[in-house]
Amino acid sequence: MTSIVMQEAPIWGAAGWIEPLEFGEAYDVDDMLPAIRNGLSNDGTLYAAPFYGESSMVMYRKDLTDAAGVSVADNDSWDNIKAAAAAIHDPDNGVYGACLRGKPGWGDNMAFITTVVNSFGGAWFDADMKPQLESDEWKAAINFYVDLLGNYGPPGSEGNSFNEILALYNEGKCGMWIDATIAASFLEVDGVAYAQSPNAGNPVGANWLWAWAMAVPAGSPNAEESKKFIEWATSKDYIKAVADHPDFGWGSVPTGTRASTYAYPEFQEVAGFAAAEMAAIESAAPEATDLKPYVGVQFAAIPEFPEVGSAVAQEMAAALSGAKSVDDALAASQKAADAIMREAGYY
Amino acid sequence: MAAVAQTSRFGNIFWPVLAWVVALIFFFPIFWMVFTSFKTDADAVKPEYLFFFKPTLENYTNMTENYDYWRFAINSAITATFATLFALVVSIPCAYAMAFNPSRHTKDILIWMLSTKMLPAAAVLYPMTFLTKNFLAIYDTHFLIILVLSLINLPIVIWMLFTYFKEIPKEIIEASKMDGVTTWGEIKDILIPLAWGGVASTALLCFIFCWNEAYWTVRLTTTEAATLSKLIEGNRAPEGLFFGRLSAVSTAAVGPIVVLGWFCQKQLVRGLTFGAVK
Amino acid sequence: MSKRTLPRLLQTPAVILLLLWMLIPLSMTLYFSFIRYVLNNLRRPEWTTPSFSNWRGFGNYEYVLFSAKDFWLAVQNSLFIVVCILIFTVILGLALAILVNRTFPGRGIVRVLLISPFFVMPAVNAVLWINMILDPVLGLNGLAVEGINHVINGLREFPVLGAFFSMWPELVPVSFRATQTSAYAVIIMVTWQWTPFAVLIFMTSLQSEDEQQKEAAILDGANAWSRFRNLTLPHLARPIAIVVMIQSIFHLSLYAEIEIVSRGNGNKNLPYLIGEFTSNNIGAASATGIFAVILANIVAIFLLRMVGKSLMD
Repeated sequence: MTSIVMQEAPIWGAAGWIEPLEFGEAYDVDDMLPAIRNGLSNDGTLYAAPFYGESSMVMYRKDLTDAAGVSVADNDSWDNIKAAAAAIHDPDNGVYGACLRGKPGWGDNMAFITTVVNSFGGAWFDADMKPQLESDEWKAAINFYVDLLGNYGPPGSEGNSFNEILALYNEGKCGMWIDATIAASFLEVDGVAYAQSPNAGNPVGANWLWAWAMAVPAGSPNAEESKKFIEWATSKDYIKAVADHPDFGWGSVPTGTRASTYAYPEFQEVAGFAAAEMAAIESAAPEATDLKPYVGVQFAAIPEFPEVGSAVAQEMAAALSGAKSVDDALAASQKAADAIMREAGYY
Repeated sequence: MAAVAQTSRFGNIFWPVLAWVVALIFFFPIFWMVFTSFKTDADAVKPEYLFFFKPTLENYTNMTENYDYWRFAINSAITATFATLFALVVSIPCAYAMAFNPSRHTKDILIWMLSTKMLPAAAVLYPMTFLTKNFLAIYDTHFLIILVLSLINLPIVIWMLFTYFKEIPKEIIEASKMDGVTTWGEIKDILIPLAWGGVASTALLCFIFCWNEAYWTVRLTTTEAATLSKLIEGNRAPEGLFFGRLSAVSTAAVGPIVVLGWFCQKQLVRGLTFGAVK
Repeated sequence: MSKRTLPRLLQTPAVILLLLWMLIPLSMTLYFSFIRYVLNNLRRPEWTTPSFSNWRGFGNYEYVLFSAKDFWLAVQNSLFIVVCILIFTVILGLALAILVNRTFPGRGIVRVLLISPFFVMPAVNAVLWINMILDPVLGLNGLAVEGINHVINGLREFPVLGAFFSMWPELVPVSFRATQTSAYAVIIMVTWQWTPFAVLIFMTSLQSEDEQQKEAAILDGANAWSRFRNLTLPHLARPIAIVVMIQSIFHLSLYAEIEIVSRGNGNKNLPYLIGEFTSNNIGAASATGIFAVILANIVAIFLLRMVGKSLMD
């Protein structure tokens, strides 16, 4: 048995490194959230079973937006998000309008940035898998990101990812945060409200999709036992058992995997974010489309992506730091990504 | 002379005070880490509790639960201890031979050993992973970490022992040869008792280096043999930045070694300069 | 057994172990640097197993030098970080060693305090500095700037003084994770950790300085500076050379600090670049590894020539 993330599942499945998963009737595979299931599949075959799933959404301080007389809506426009961030931005009193990821890493700043790019209609690669990082959509999206976070974000944003922002948020320093849905379960400040991720008129992939999952390596000697274990550990019964356990309860059940979890009133009660999270996950679209000819929302499910993503991530952090202009950073990103894809034999 | 006396009167106050101030500045980050470890996570980031707060031990009592501290600490202790022992077992005969029966190649061998320390570890990162994971299947075992830790410290250990052994008068060893003592007997009954202080301080220094090693211990382990370096570097808290508990676990990770370090400052100089500064 | 065999035999285990430790992985790196070798590639699965049929000549080297990003940044930065740290630690180390070489009350404690940073684990050092001290919002850096701004805001209220302080600009905390500053953050934290090492070695060496010679110089009317230049500094030449050598070895392979501070943003060295390639492109990682070995050797030859002789005295 091996632990695997959503970016790897389709690739490893295609490479034949992990075995297809088929479970019994009682497992009720259709109960698995469809987006998550798609993301862990390759060509319609499921290769990994999720023990945790997430999307992204807006977590904003309704007390602050109300006081400033602005509002944040579901799938808001980016312009309105910026206006709201500007209205609640009050650095003299230690409140920053928007806290967003800036720490370089394909799973850190690039996760958020890619959703912005997606909503602006951009994509990592075209149909020939040529990087598209100097497209108008990327330029517009990155200019927007640098402008928003540079002007209304906390100092040192280029070092912030999930953990850092969570610490800031719980100190009351953030007016708004767009990040993993699970963050909502760790927020300890009052007045938090949720909204579906903003988009710039293009809802496809405006919110990300991610999962931690378990898979069976191909040719492993105890494949059958591993499958049995995975079947149990990602089942409805397991979730119910965690919920009923005196030491854990509904606050500790694995989230983002099964529709049935979200149907329990007890779960909805302890997880005020449940409805928003479920809606976000359901609206995430990992499948390849004409616009985005690869699997994955905030990543591309190709083996070279971590390398491409990390290289671009550092350039984005440089743009955010002000060490490079957005155009220069994107040009350098394009060059690096092109070299990696060429080296990998795509063209 | 009058001028000298005057400056020294002024200097007698000024320089010691300056020395104290600088020392306190240098120690401050460590003090701050220990200080913060007694704050709750929530208090640790609040300016109003910067200096005055209600101290708590909860970061320490929860350390096992939050970080599984003891598992990593035990791994660190096991690997550092056995790596040190293994390094000594290999080095003592080697240094003995080099000190008492030097050949014309001894100098070259010593310099060559030193040069292996200069090989950048990162250059062989993948081959090491490949060898230990796919080929030898010893990845993430105590055995591997003990072996690697002892090998990277071998040059320093040999050098240090060599400089200590060289100080023992050759005549003592020669005399024992006359008495027909075996080589093993020489090492066991004469050399080690005579150089006991040197061997002990070499071991101490090697232990410190093993404990603090952070490249291979992080990259050649996942869970089984993971040490404290791995805990701090590779396993940052999954749900937020917790200054309080991070400080506590860091304090617990570096505390024993800092204290150990206080006791072997002198030996450190000798070890790190390969005996050139005593 | 002849007189020579036994000593040789006793040295054999150590020599063989070190030889294996050095040669096996390094020859694999050399081999991988000449073939196409990636961990995963769906289009060219044959590249995922090391084999002579994937021979690529100097292709990986060309890729690293001319196509992939950051090679020259990494080389430059490797040297920049090391040189800066060396300059700071040697100067600070000299000053502090001379400072604590006198006798004064509490000297033992001062030494213990001064030496402590050296024993802190590199990862703890980096986590401690970048989060708790240098963080521009939650760290002492941020808190201090906030505090100063607060005080100045208060002073603006005063009648006459206020006019002066209203001209005072609001301070903005420096972020040490930014592209422009991340190298300095690493230099600061490593200098903090290694200055004690330099102090320790210089201090030990100062104790063996000839006091009579110094007293004679005082009687001759030589001032403190000329005593330092003409007597102390020459005496310390060897320890300085050794401090430079040891630190170069360690700092050319810095990793944890760079990773924790900025993940390679604006600051990376060759080991870090190798780590980045290792996520998939083993051929490129290996070629970079060979470059790192060459760089380390150039530095090592230079250094060993400088101090190698004095080591053997």
